[in-house]
Amino acid sequence: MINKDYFKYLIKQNKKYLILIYVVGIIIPFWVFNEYTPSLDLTGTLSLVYGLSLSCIVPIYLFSFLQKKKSNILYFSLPIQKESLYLTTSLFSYFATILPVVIYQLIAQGIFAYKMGISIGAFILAIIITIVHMFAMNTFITTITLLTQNSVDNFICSFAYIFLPLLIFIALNNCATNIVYKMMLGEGNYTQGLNDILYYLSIPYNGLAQMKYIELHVTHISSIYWLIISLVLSFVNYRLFIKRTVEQSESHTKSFFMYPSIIILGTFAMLLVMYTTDFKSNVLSFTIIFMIYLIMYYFSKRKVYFNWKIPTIFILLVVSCIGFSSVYASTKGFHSIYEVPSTSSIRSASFSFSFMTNYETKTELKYKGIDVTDINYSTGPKKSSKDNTNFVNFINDIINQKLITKYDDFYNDPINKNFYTIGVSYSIQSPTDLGRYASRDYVIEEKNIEKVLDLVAKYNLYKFKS
Amino acid sequence: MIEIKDVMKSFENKNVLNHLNVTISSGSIFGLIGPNGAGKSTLLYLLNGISKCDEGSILFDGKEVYENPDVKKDILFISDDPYYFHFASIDEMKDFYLTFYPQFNLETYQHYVDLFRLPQNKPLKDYSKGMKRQAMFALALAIAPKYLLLDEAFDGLDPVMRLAFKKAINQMIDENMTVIISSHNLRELEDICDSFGILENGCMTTSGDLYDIKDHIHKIQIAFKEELNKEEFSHLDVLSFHKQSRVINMVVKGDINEIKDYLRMFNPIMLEVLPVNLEEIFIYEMERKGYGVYD
Repeated sequence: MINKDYFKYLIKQNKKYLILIYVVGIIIPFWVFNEYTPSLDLTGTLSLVYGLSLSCIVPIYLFSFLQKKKSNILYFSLPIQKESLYLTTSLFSYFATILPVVIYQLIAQGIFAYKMGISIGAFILAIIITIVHMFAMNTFITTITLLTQNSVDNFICSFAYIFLPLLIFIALNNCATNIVYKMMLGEGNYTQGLNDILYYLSIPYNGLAQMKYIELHVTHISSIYWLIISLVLSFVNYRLFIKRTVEQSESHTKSFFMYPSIIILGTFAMLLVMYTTDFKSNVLSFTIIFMIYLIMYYFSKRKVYFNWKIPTIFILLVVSCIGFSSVYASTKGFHSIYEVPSTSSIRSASFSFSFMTNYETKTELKYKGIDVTDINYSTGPKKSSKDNTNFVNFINDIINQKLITKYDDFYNDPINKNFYTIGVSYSIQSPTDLGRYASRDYVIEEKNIEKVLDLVAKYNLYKFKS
Repeated sequence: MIEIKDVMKSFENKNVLNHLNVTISSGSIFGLIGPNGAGKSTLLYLLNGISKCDEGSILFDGKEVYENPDVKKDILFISDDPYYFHFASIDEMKDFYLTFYPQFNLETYQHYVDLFRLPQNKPLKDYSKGMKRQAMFALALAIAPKYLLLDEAFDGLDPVMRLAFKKAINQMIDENMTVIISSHNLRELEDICDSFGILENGCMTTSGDLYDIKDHIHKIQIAFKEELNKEEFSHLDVLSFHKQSRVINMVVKGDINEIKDYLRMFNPIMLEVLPVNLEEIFIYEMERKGYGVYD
């Protein structure tokens, strides 16, 4: 149960910090009031950024008594049950962070609603997104605080876990880049399944993405996921606190989920980022990563020593990295990377042609009386599934018949000549990622342009006059 | 009354307290002594409900202490280096203790703050070591717990401060408080304590009323016509034996009259019984167990 006297004491003891939180938070509605073109997502984003920052700092501060032996002795000697001590401190942690941010967000959105008008649904949804993600971040940081055994480890592990998802994303992105480089996709937006991963790995990323697309129809499954995770972690935190002993304070952090996990995941991610098929560059980069791995390992143990476990783990990580890259490549990112999207997933698609002259002057081709550069395709407002099918078939045909070339490959050819380009764009109907679109330019040599246009006509992608 | 029944506590596979059994009467001042690493602080943590014993039980007036706020509100623990909030003044610490100890007496608090001349608005981190201890005593006296646990209370203090604390502890005796003091300063403990226990290797090897113990341990100086060895006195429970030619200084446990009768059988030239203090008792007990410096 909550100890009311202790809760009141916490408010009294931290009065100056609470005032500071409210004073800094006034920026949110003040900004909206002064900004001429505010938007709901920007208002929500500002609140969320402020709220997530508080949610990182406040639990570390409130539970810091666990990290020092003297303060731990004092608190555990008090006539209050551990359960009550934990619940009261946690409740105050949420009270000191979520309440002021939500108050200011309500004021800011209220001002915005008065100026611009927004739906009640979006208004409430923005508040819920802030609360859920602040609750998640607060609980997660509390878990790290309870698993670490001194202040330094607390800060380092919290920092590491906030940025580890980004490192993992960069690593997977590198793997995806290696795959798409071999495909006709080439450069462009090919992250295709990766943003989804980041939603489920990173609280700030998911919160900010949900806020960005607040006025559009996106699924909130990832937010529900974080809410469930937070509720589970709340229970875990309770158990960790009850089992916490004075002897754990000011000692080395032993939990597998702290340094060992961070070092393994971080090293694995770094290896994936740097991994290439070139043996020599791998040796150099892996050596540097091994040095970083050693520094992390020895820092976690606070001593330098040799043990066969140390290089063995690293070798296993290297082998895992190579294995993972191979499997990722052979399964095309576990079937998340595709040359051409499926028919049903396309939301919109378009293409257009350009004519590039280099060293010869030549008249641009006309096809069925129309300048090639005037021929284009765009999904209309009344798009049918047949439109998507025709588009996908067209793209598949021009790839399979080798009628198009990647820019990089074309410029490797020493012969300079005129060429056409086709710029292809499409967006995917992803419930979680509205930003999933692709836009690429390909080279069409003069000798292939008519065949390409024949395919355009074949699939009725442009209405040529008969 | 505090009952420590068959308590066991270990850390990282090392037994710190091993089947510990002690009873401490209410209103007594109990001196907890022992060599470094004996488990004194661990025992105090268990008594205060900071840690939980692996086996056994610790009862205060028949009630378990661990996770029992009703019992813990009558216990106050002052460690050798008490914790204060950063930049907190004694008044701010008073507010903290007032939250958890409803019996906190503000008048008593102010009385001792004035008596010790403690600056109320100055951060405690700027106090001297002695002043910090005085601040804790002022808070302790204001709380007036039934049980006060002091870990190395006198260590590091000058004689004037030690005297001040002894007076404060005597004040607590008048309040019918039970005090447990852990200290290496046995001479100070002897002045205050009426009972003690020697903790060694996780067990209470010697414990009981101080005067009873002193009545049963005797330092004897005895001279003979010829040299005698320790083996000659095998019937005695000898804690310490030092021989210089025909003069022997020994510390013996047992009834003094029986010891004297036994020694007279050897026709000593001189036999004198000397007073023994707590420090000597501790040293002799530890020497017997192989801990310490030998002549």
